[in-house]
Formats: sequence, C-alpha cells, structure tokens
Amino acid sequence: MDDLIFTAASIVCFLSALAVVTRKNPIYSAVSLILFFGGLAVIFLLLRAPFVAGMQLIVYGGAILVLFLFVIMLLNLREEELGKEKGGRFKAFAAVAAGALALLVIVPVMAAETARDGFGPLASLPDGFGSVDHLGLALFTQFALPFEVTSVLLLAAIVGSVMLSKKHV
Amino acid sequence: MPDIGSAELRVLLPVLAPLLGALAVLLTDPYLDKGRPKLPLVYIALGSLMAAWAALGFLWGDRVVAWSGALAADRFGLYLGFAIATAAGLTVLSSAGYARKMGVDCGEYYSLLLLATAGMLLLAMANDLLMVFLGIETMSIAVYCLAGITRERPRSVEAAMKYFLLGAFATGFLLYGIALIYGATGEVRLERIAHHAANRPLLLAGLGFLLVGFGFKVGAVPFHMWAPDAYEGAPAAVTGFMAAGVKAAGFAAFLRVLLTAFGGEAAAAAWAPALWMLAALSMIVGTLSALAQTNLKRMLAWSSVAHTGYALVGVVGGGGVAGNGSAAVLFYVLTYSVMTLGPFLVIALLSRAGEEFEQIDDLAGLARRRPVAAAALSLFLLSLAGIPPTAGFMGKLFVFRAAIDSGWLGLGVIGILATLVSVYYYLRPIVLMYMREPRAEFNASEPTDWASHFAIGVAALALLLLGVLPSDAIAASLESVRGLW
Repeated sequence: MDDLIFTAASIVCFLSALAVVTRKNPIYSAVSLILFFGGLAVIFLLLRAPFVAGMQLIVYGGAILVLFLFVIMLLNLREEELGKEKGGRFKAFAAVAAGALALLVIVPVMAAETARDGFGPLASLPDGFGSVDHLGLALFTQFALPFEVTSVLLLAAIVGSVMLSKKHV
Repeated sequence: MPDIGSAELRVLLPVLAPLLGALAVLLTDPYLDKGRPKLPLVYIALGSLMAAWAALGFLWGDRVVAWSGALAADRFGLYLGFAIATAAGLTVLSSAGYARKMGVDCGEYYSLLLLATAGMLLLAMANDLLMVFLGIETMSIAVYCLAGITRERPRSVEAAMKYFLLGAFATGFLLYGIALIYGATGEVRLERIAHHAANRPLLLAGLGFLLVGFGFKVGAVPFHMWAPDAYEGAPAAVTGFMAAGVKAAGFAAFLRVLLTAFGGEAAAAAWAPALWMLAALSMIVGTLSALAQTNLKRMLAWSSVAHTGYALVGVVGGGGVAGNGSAAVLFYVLTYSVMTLGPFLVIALLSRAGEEFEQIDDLAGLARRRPVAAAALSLFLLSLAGIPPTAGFMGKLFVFRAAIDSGWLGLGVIGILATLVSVYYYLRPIVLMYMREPRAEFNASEPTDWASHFAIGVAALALLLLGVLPSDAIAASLESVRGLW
C-alpha cells in the first residue's frame, strides 16, 4: 500500500515540477507548484512526519504560493511581455544541468542503498517520531539555539529587504 | 533539557553584543536628524563591537560547550573571532566617512554590518552542522544586501545579484551535504560524526558536497566565479569586510568541521587530495588572473582567491593533531584578514562622493598628494606579497613550512612560485604611487577623515607587530588547535 501511494505521489510531484519549469505563463507555473507541494506533503506523511507534511501545505502551499500569485498578478504581464520562447540551445543546456543535478541526488542514494549504509528502516524509529509533541520538545530543548538563531537570520533578511526596496535611504 | 545556566549565556555573549547593537542602531536611527552625519550610530556600532571583543577575551581559556553541543567557546573559535570583530570595527570606523560620501549613511547599513558580524561569530563557534548552516546564512544574507546597498550604481546591484544567486546555489550544496551526513550518521554534532567510520559512500558524498559549499564561501577555484564581480561592484568598505570577515569566519568553520568531524586518518585521506587540487588551482588561477587587472578592487579580488589557496595549503598540510598546519592556517587567516582589509580602507578613504577610487592607474603620484595613504597602501601590498618584516611574510613562511614538513612538497613549491609571481602585481601600484607624476586630482580639499586614518593606522600597526613579534600570536594559534580536543 505504501509503495502504491509513494509511486502515485512521486508521479504527481515529477509531472507538476516539470510543468512549473515548462509553462510560459507564470500563473500556470505557480498553480503547478501548489500541486507539487501537495505531492511532497503526501511523501512526508509516508515518512511518518505528519507535522512537516502539515507545515508543507500551510506554509508553502498556502502562504508562500499566495504571495507568489499576488506578485504575478500585481505585475500583470501581458502576452508580449512574457518574452519569446527560449532557443533550443538554452533548453538543451537546462536539460543537461537538470540531469546533472538529478545524478547528484540519485548516485549517493543508490550507493548508500547497495552498501546498506545509512537510511535505517522506519520500524527502528522511536515511538511518536515526527509527531508534534516530539518535534516541539526537540525544538525547545536540544535545538533551542538553532531555533532562536533562525529568527536572527530572518531579522537580517527583513532589514536587508526593507533597505533594498526603500526609495530613499 | 538544557539548563539555561550561566555557561549557555556566557558562550553567547560575543554574539549577543553585536546583535543587541544592531537592534539599538535600528531603534535609534528614526530619532536622528535627517541630513546630518549619523555619528550616534557609529558610536553604538563601535561600542557593541568593543563589547564583543571584551566578551571574546573573557571567554579565552578552557573549552566550554553549551546549548546541547551547538556552540563551543574554545580558543579555536575565539582566535578568529578576534579577527572578525577587529575587521568589523575597522570597517565601521572607515564607514563613518565613506557611507556619507556614498549616500548610504543609514541605520540599515550599520545594523546589517552588525548582524553579519553576529553571524560570523556564531559560525566561528559553531559546533554542529545546523549552527554552521545558520551562521553562514545569517552572515551571507546580511552581506548580500550590503553589497547592493549603493542602489544607484548598477555595478553594485549586479554584484549583489550575482553574489546572492551563486551563494544561494552553494548553500543548496552545503545543505544537501549536511542532509547526507545526517542520513549516514543520524548526527549533526561534529564530534559525534567523528565516531562513525568514514569510508561509507553516503558520508563521503556528504563530505564532498560540504567541500563544494565551503569552497564557495571561502572563494576557492573552481568555486570562485562570484568573487571578482562581487568584490568590484560592492562598495569598498563592504568589500573589505567581505574579504576579511566572511573569509575568516568561513575558514574557521571549514577547518573545525574538517578537524573535528573528519579528522580521522581515513576521512583525511579522502579530503586531502580534493583540497590539494583546490589549493593548487586557487594559487595558480588567482595569481595569473590578478596579473592582468587594471581595476584595483578586481585585482584584490583575484589576490584574495590566491590567498585562499595559500591558506588551503596549510589545511592540506595540517599534519593532524601534532602537526603545525592547522595552527598555521589560523595565523595565516588572522594576518590575511588584516592585510586584505587595509587596501579597501585606503580605497574607501580616497573615494569621492558617489564615485569609487578603484583604477590602478589613478594611483599615479599618490605619494605626493596623500603621503600617509600611499605609505599605508604600500605596506598592505608588501604584506600581501609576503615581504619581510610584515605579517604576510610570517604567515606564508609558517604555512609553507608546515606543508613541506608534513610531506606536501609539491604544494609548497607551487605556493612559493605563485608568491614570486604575485610580487609583480603587488609592486606595480607602489611603483605608480611613488615614481609617476600625479594624473588624477585627489580629494585633498575635503576635511580630514580622522576615523578612517585611525582605522588604517591600526591595521598597519597590527601588520607590523604581527610581522616583527609574531611569537605570541603563533603560540596562541598552536594552543587553539590543541584546545579542539
């Protein structure tokens, strides 16, 4: 059953990711991205990470995608402003780059799989792994400092983006 | 449950100081008169950096690990922490006049500078891979924005954009490497990763991606493509901070990860040949490219690529716990951060309102009009070239000797040859300054920028001191590396 769901979710992810980069109209790309996040959330559920799956839907599929759509609509690009279709050479280069990146993911994982190294079976995980209370505990005890430092990182990003978008310094 | 006790807070002190300074700057800025020099911001920034310095000095001593092992205040991190805090302080001093000339005398400038410093200090003390990542990102995001802060100059915006895009790409590699290492070991803490056998494909793949990510942050060939454009386009004071601080913090984390998590013989045998290539390529490509430059900032960018190579020589020739290589890297990065910051301080001083002073030919005859600036710039360039009695000479000597002692003769020879070639492009500006008639008009009419002069003086004095009396700093670097275990 798990395998079946995983295969279905992977196919959805793959096709929608392909649609994100191949659609010329950015609205279609953004909508395909929602579908992609949905498929990814299903995979997280299979990995016993319900909280991450929920966050994936709420934060990425919800908040960030709405922001993307707002920006695209505010820009309101007309057909002729979208520019011409990129040439065959560009597409070939993009395909080669994407293939190289895919190899970077596939090769180490397959090597680990054949050497039976890493990625322990799900059965060996402790009870409650990936649940909200476990995650919350880890976040506020063992990973308290990284959690707080993330807010400093966001502060730097906010200050920087406000500075870059102000009319006058 | 970690007890938020005194150790936790003590370890955080050097980071909290610039962080609180950044917040204070942001809160003070709206209450200052527009159009007048924003000196209070400079005072706050300087004060918080001095507090960071004091905190680093206060922590200097035994290794304290806190926050469930996320942060380690040991001499290793603090050693380069001093270099980072000093570079930030000198940058602030030079910015007091420079930011006004460039029209960016605003709260955001100083607060981003301080936030970047906080990120760098975190990075220097980071003891697990999560903190390494967060430190790098906090530092990088602030520096990307600083590089593009002079928004009217297209080149500055281009620099920020290129640096940001390539930086984000490299961060992806770094994060992927961390994910693979976590997948292989189930650990993010450096000393626990070391307990796992290193010859496993997943772990080695993770290490490879880490090398790419770090290689980008420290600007090693072939991951250096961003450096010339980013250094040339960013405003001079920011470029100096980038060249000194980002590199010092990057090397601190890089070296700590390699020595702590991958310090075993099997792991070292995996990364040493890869770093050998990076070091040799950085020295050769950096030196040869610098020869052809007509823009001073671009020349210094290529020179910083070459210097990354010299420092990597020490990493390769580390010689393990007993060897001097790793300590040589610490000393080298310390001296490098001072001597690479220096020329940018001079460029910032000589720049006019809205216009960077960056063409090498414009230096002609500088010695007649601005003798102090010319003398200081000559000293910095001589030190970068590695000519005694400056600190650059001691640094190179220490690094090359450590590499040759531990059997990396080829790398030492490449380093010495690259140094010889580099003398040409470091001496050319000096010849121009002292032996040509002045061509450009230097801004002699403006009121003297004492803060900038003071910063240049401190940097020059530090270089001479480290060159003539290096024994204390070298002894401290040796202690720092021993203190890692």
